[in-house]
Amino acid sequence: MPERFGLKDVVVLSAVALLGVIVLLKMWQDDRVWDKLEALQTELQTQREMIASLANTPPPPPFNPVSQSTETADPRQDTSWSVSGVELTWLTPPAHPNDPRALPGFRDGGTLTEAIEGNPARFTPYLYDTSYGQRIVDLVCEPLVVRDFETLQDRAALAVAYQSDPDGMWCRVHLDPGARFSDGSPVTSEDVRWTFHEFVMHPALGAERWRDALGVIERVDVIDERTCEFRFIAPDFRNLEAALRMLSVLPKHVYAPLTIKEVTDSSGLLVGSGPFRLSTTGWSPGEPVVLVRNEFYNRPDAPIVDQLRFVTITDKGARLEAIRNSEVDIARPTASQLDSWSRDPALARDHKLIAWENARSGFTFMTWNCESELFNDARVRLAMTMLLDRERIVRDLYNGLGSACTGPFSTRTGQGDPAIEPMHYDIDGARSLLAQSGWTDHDGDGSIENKNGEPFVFTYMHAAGSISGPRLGAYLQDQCAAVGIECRVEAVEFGAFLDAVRTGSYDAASFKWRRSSLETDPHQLWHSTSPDNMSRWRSPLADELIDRGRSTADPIARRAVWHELHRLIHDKQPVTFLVNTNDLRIVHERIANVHAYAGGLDISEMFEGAR
Amino acid sequence: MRRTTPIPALVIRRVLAAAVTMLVLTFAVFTFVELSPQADPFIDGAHAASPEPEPALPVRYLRWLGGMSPITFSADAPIGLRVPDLGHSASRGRPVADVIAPALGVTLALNALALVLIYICAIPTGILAGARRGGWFDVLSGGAVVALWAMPTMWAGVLAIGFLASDAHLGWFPIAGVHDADAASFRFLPSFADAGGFRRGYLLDTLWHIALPVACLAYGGFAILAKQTRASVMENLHADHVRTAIAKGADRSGVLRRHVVRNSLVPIITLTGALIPQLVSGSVVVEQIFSIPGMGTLVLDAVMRRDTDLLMANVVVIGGITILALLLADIAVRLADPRTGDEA
Repeated sequence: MPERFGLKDVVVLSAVALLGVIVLLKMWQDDRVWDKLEALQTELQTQREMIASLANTPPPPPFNPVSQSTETADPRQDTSWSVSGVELTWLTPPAHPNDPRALPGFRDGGTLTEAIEGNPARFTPYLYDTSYGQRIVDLVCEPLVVRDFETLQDRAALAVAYQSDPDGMWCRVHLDPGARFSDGSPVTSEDVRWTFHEFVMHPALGAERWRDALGVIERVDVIDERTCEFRFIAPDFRNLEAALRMLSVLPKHVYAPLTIKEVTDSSGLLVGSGPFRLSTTGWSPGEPVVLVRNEFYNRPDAPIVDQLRFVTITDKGARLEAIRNSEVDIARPTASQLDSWSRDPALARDHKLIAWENARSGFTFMTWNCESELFNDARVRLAMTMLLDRERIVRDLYNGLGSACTGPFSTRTGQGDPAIEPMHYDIDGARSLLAQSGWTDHDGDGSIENKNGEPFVFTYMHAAGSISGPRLGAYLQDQCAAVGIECRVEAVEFGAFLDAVRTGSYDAASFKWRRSSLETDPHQLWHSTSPDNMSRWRSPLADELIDRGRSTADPIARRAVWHELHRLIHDKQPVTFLVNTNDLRIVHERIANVHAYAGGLDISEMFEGAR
Repeated sequence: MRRTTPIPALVIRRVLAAAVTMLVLTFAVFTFVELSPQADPFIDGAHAASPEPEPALPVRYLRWLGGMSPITFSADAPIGLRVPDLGHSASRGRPVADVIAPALGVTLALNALALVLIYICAIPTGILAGARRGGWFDVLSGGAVVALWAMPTMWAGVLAIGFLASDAHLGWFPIAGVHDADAASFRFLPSFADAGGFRRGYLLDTLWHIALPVACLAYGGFAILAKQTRASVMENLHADHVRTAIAKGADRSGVLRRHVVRNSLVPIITLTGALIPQLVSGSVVVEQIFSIPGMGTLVLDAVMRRDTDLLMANVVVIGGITILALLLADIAVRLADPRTGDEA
């Protein structure tokens, strides 16, 4: 029987069509509301900028100079807050190392987009767990003192001056009277106290790492509205670093009304006084992070671009295609990617290819298990270092982007001793040292044995998925074979790899380590009591130097101690330091005033040229 | 005569079987996660001594299961219902439900679109190829289907970015993400600005961004479904009733539409149950290549960070979606053809 188009079909089709029209009308109506909201937001932003400009404008001179408040006067004239008889350090205001305003084509405003490799899960201060989270927090929140990108010297941030106890037990800080949070409210010493005692140190907040790092501070006292004093538990070189440069100050009036659960469950609860602020209040993971210029940030190093965007691109090839497409302006390439782009004239012309040694750049090293019978003799470890041609490793494994490393400290910051030269590549010297320690070819089979006739066989372990690990392993195998050592290479899943190193169930392993601060604490890697002493090297002299260095307040005297430790580690080679790795970036040509400094790239001084 | 189970009984039977499957699956994953080494002992305080010895693994699993259970037992009310507690993500410091919810939405949307695309493209292709067996369309589509079948998703994704998204070649699509960084400020529908410029709007921008990921997710399923449809159409074309109808002079296209295509749909519906797990597992690769913050990315992240609660919740959600899809496919097949036996 033929199927006919009946009344029922007409009704159904009409209902579907009506539904479609209603949905379309609803969308249209929503867009009209959207337009109204957008206009309202623009109006609010204009008013916000007007308020900020009013707040940043110096008030007219007072009629009666006697009644002039300390807030309106040059803060340098007021020392009433200070402890008499203790040296007072006035901080230089921050500035762009290369002033963009003097450059041709300078343009205020615009947008800069950076590709990041991973999804930041959150950037609530002190709760973020990735380097991307830290990067975003550092742009929105400020500590009391910052480092100059070029000279690495202290510059004023929230503090304009401080005093430090010669015995290292306290530090008094005077805040900038003009400092404002991004909502326009002033930064006070109560905000500093509250951030430390009631936010970071709150036991229910999952900020254990920060509590550990800031644990050298015993308490923060409010002296007056603009002055606070840090009291330390004991003299320690980390005291000033913790108090002045690590504690990012949060607005009490924003965070205090929230419960710890609300803070803990948040992903992007971020308000500060830094050069940028979040563009929206409700960010959730997976969305691009958009920061906008903080109108209340009025220091000379205020950013030039209006907007800073972070876009997650996980695939390394896609990151480079995105920069080629002008979808992003800054991306981090691999060494081989940078190398291949530098060989392409068109790409090299249209982009800035930057490789430089940041003072916080990492280093790679091969750690020897000093508790094993093979590597407990320093002569064997020295021989292993002499077997490795580090110039060749830099050239072949890192595309020439790096330099031979001599120790755990950066020589750029002065913590490392620049007089220490990398140990020379010397196979004959290595053979001789191995012979001195009892490893010779007794039976003429080409392999070296100890006095019991046991051959020298060890396993080099690297994390599975590592790019350089297998190549380094192949090179190590060849070099060991040249002196009669059998090296086996094993790739181990990352968790199991770390577990094996932590429990000492390994012979040799390679690592990359990033320096957490300009002056690093050697305790974690080298003190015999540290659970993270991967090489399991236990030296009473090193322990004594570390303890002495940590408790020495005078930076000059402390530097001498670190140099001595550097020399000791170099002489004993518990690990073979391989390469000081470079930081790498590709920046689109349209972004101007891009300079690589010891402190990194100063994103605030860059500006957008013609696209 | 074969006896068929009524649909409600079938559903109850399948749900019970699904519950057992979920128990086995979650116990296996829980055991592997718990026995694997710590991800990062240098930063997560793994050295800190635990104040109490940990209970045995089965006990830990039962505790976790207790938290997951939607049914509660208490003295006041013997049996109660509640929202299952998916736990707390250790790596993100937030409730797992809060972490999963946005990612699940993205992955479901991608997979739903991919599934629709697969059916829209594969069924006509399979029918045309089957109805004109040996013709040029059959030969061409057959070759294309085999090529697509053999192509790994990872490779296809990289090629798509390199040729279709990169400005070095066509540059038609964006490279990463599900929408533009400015999308939050877009109107929903496309529009023309006052100056005359075209503005995509949120809807079109999202479709533009997810075009390549959805295509990468869909092509494998398309190949399978097109082949299956072709085989099914050819089988039905040789059925007695079809040959009789054609021999009697019935219109060939009418016969094809009324008898062949309708009967060919049953195995295609069955195949949906197999396509959905394939799509979900394909999401892991596709989301990674196109930087999409979905369940696939979340699973990888949870594995890398040894985030037990997050990983277990992912397993439960993905396993649940798969089992639900299989159940729905069973019911759909039964509805489409009530003669189908219990083994459908």
